[in-house]
Amino acid sequence: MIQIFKKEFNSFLNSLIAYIVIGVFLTAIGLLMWVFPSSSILDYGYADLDSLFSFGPYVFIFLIPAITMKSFAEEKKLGTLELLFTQPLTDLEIILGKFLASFALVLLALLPTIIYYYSIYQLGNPIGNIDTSGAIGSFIGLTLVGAVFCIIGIFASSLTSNQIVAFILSAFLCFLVYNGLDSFASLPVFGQQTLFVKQWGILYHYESISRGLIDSRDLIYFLSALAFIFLLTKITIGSRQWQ
Amino acid sequence: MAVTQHWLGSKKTGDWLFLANGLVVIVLLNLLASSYFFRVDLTEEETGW
Repeated sequence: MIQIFKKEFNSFLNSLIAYIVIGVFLTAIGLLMWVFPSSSILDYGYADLDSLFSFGPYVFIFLIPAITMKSFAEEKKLGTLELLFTQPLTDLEIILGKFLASFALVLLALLPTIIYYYSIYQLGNPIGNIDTSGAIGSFIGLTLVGAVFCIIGIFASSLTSNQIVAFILSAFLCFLVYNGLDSFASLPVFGQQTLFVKQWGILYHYESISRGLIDSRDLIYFLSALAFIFLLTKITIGSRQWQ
Repeated sequence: MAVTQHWLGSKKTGDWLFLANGLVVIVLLNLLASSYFFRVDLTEEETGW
């Protein structure tokens, strides 16, 4: 697993992918937080990181599928997936290695945003007048959302050998799981079951953690989502060896 | 050992069994989590004596 992780992570760093992903993420979030008047903190007047944590997942919806789209799709196209299966590795180890490499890149992109926290901490009046607990909770939430998006991307990549298809499918699934279910819940057809449907989506749990209240049920939700999509990916990858 | 190999039959059966077991574990974990849960409140301020 470590070998797969190293190979994948090095391939990100040796190509432009890592630098583009980190650069685009920080530029997009930076523009939204500091430049665009509709969402700029300087115009808004409150020392908080709301714009980072509300726009962050939407930026992830486009960036994470771009990281993960090649993980299995490229291997299938080049025919190296069969070669990978001949190695003394289980399917789970292969998937886990690829997942950890993508997730490490997401963490690497998220790490510099601590500077934004420090900037707002200094800009607060008085200095340090910022909701630190909410920020910590939101950072944990954003990390978990990133992890779920990574495994969704890897699952989408395992379904096809075309990277563009994997990207579009992954972005759609990420949007559906993040925001789609929450929007579906407001349909009148669900009536009394609105909350139940909302709880299936990531947004409900992300907002809960972002308040600075870490609930074990939210953590179990994220872990379950990760485990469930891991299992689906394992079936998809394993099905190539069934014949 | 031979019995185990025959019981699994094929990789296909093994994979489906793994999925089924995984789903059961996930469902049980969520049922347990809904009954026994805890919260870590980061917003709580420390009160000094």
